This record gives sequence, structure tokens and C-alpha cells, in this order.
Amino acid sequence: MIEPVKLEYKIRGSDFINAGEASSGTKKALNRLGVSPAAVKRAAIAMYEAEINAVIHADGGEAEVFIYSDHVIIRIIDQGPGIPDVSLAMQEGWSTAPDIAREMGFGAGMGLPNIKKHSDDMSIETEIGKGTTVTITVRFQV
Amino acid sequence: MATLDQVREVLGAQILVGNDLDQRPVAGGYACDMLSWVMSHAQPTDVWMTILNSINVIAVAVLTDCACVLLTEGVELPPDVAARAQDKGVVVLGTQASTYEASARLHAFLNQHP
Ligand SMILES: Nc1ncnc2c1ncn2[C@@H]1O[C@H](COP(=O)(O)OP(=O)(O)OP(=O)(O)O)[C@@H](O)[C@H]1O
Ligand SMILES: [Mg+2]
Repeated sequence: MIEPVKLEYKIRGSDFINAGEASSGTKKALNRLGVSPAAVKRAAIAMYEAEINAVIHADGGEAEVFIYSDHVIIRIIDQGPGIPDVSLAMQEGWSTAPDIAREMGFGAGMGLPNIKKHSDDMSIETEIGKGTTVTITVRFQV
Repeated sequence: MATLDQVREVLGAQILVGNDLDQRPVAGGYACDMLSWVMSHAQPTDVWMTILNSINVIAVAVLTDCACVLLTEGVELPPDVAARAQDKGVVVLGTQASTYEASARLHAFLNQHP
């Protein structure tokens, strides 16, 4: 099997200025590898939502991206507070975003549902007080 | 199809950042101030109308590849956000009109210029 292309990024907490660097870097890499624009867009949106969640809700974390020939696996890992009730968090409209994030246009409670919508597979591993890992798979062909 | 240049004129909007507006087709609009909604709904031929002017607006405009960001209600574009828009090739327009007024005018125009 061909080794995947691996990308790694640091995500800084509460840094709204640079938030999105991991997803825009990944977007560029996927474009360069000739992945279809539609698949690139889905991956970039899903990853941006997860990245922003790490910035807003978990004081930052890391991103690991594995690009294979026909799909990409994106993992956003944080050591934040964890998610007490994942099924509640997955509901459209549920949000605990602080005012500072809301003033910037976040906090609709649509990020996790968006990740689900734009990916082929999504999983959340989370532990209270330990952190959260969101794993996103996007296939290149429909 | 209508171009962003025509749309700008009809709306009486100012160019805050961007050029080659005549190269950008416009077929619709999306009016929303919640970024996650915009990300999942705005189309590449949409004018995105918003009162948000934070740096993240540029990221979302890039992700959706929307035709432009239209700042309504006379909202100003901070210099660092303008610089980011320039850097990423995002067109930003500004108008004193409300999002409602801008949407109504855009809709009327696009109805006549499908
Ligand atoms: N990495 C995370 N760590 C801790 N809590 C999280 C994390 N990601 C999401 N959550 C929790 O799940 C809720 C829902 O997340 P979601 O992304 O759907 O909405 P949001 O971030 O609040 O708003 P939006 O994404 O629409 O801007 C958050 O408000 C937060 O309570
Ligand atoms: Mg979110």
C-alpha cells in the first residue's frame, strides 16, 4: 500500500486571527494533489468547523491529516474540557459558545452537524476533563 | 448571467476590497450572520450579505468561494480584515442599506437578469 501524505498542524487556543490555518493548508495540499474541487470543499469546511471548535471550546489542540489516494482522514485532537453529552452537542442549535465567539459569528450550534453533513464519516471520542478527538473521513469520489 | 460589477452598481455599493468584478458571475444571495449557516448554504455565485466584519468572515468567504461579501448597514471593514481579504482574493463590498433592503434589490435585479 502507498503511504499516505501526512500533515500536522498546531491549533492555538482563542486565536481567531490564525484560526483556519490548518484547514486552509490542508485545502491547498488537496488541491495540489488534484482532488476534485467538490471533495476539497467538503473536507475544508468539515475541518474548519472542527478546528474552530478546538479554538473556541478547548483552548486549541492539534490537527493530523492523512491523505490517501481516494480519501482523507482528518483528526482534530484537543486536551480541552470534553463534551458531556455528545448527542446533545450534535443537535442543530445546541451551543455553549461564549459571547466573544458569538460576536464573531460563531455559536449557531451548527458546527458539528455541518461536519456530519460534509463528511462521509465522523466520530467523536471525548472524555470529561481530558479532551476531545474528532475524526473526519471524506472520500474523493461520490 | 449577471456579474458582480452589475450587481454592485444596482446596489449602489462601494468596493472595499477587490477587482475584476466583471469576471464574477452572480446568480443569488445569502443573508446570514452565523458563520456555520453560511458555510453550509452559501453558493459560489452568491452575494453574501452580513453585518459581521471579523477576520473569520474572510475564511468563510474563501471556504464557500462566494462571489463577494457585502457588508450592510454601513459596517466598516477593519484594516487587518481588509488585508486578509486582499491576500486571499476575496471581494468585499459595502453599503449603507440594511441586509433586508440589499436582499430585496438584489432579488429584484436578478429576477430580471437571470
Ligand atoms: N472540541 C470541543 N471541546 C469541548 N466542547 C465542544 C467541542 N466541540 C464542540 N463542543 C461542544 O458542542 C457544542 C456544539 O458544537 P457546534 O460546533 O455544533 O456548535 P458551536 O461551536 O457552539 O457553534 P457553531 O459551530 O455553529 O459556530 C459547543 O457549543 C460545545 O458545547
Ligand atoms: Mg462549532
